[in-house]
Amino acid sequence: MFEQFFAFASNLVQFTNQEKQLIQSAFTFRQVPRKFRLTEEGKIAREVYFINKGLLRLYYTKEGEDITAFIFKENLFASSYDSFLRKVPSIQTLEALEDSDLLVITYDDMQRLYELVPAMNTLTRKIAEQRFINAQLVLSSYILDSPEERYRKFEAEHGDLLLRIPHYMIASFLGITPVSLSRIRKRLM
Amino acid sequence: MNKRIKTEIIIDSSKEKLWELLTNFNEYPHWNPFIRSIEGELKQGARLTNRLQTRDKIMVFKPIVQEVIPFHAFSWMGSLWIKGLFDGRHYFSIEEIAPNQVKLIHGEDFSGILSTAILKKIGDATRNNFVVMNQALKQLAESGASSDR
Repeated sequence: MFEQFFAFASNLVQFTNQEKQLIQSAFTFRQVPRKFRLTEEGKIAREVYFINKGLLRLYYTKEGEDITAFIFKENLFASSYDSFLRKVPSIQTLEALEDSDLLVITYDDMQRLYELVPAMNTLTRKIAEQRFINAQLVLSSYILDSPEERYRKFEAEHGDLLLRIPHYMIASFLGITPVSLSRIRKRLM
Repeated sequence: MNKRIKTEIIIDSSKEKLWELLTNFNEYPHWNPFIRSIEGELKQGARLTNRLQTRDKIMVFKPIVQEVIPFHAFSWMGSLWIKGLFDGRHYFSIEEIAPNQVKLIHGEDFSGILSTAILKKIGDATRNNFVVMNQALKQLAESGASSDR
């Protein structure tokens, strides 16, 4: 259950065997079914999830409509980070889109792990840097790209998701209607 | 940080039904791929005889029940050879999420002078065994079977 996490982490940091044991003690292995909500809007997100298997969707609810903020897939950490880090009620919901196998850690256990395993700090920093870059690219794409260009980029980077999740969720992530997404896909075929 | 293994699974069941399935030790041989049998009474201070499936052999442990909170949790404390070498507090806890959905928490906290070395060898396999049992219990609970079959 931790092989996948350590294989992923080995691209960024090296853990000793003793550190690996500490990490295994800090995380909980949790299996959740599709549609299970890990974080509810209005409640504080107390955990971060490393996805061994499955998909999680982070979304906003506005005027009764879901707006996808991000889809997390295997080998990614997921949470409602604003809520998790600032300990304030989440403005987003985090939900499983598929039956998912997760490695779960609480805020307090993460802080303890930072003290005991310095490489965990490095790992988190490197992941956070990558997330910052990705967030900037998404923002830039909203400002600079046409909906069709945004779709092309999404397809190039996350083409597998087109087969795994309903397209209306992708449309809301791209900031377009499902009808527009359908038109774009037809044009590009 | 304490040495521990902690696993969880979401099960569509009432806490009462899951408690009944989990504490009906007589039925374990029929569904439980990890704890093949438990003899003894689930009450604080009682000694149990647990037969655990580990790879291709059965290991027998005789832990003592530590805590029983009906419909919520129970645990036992066991030792390998003598107390202080490799001790484990094995626990099950049921958290209600909704009237027909619960989270089963299944874990073990380890201590003793050999715990680091032994866990290094058997930690992964033990965690896998917990997960296999969790999945079997989920299947049993969600299939509509009851323990009084």
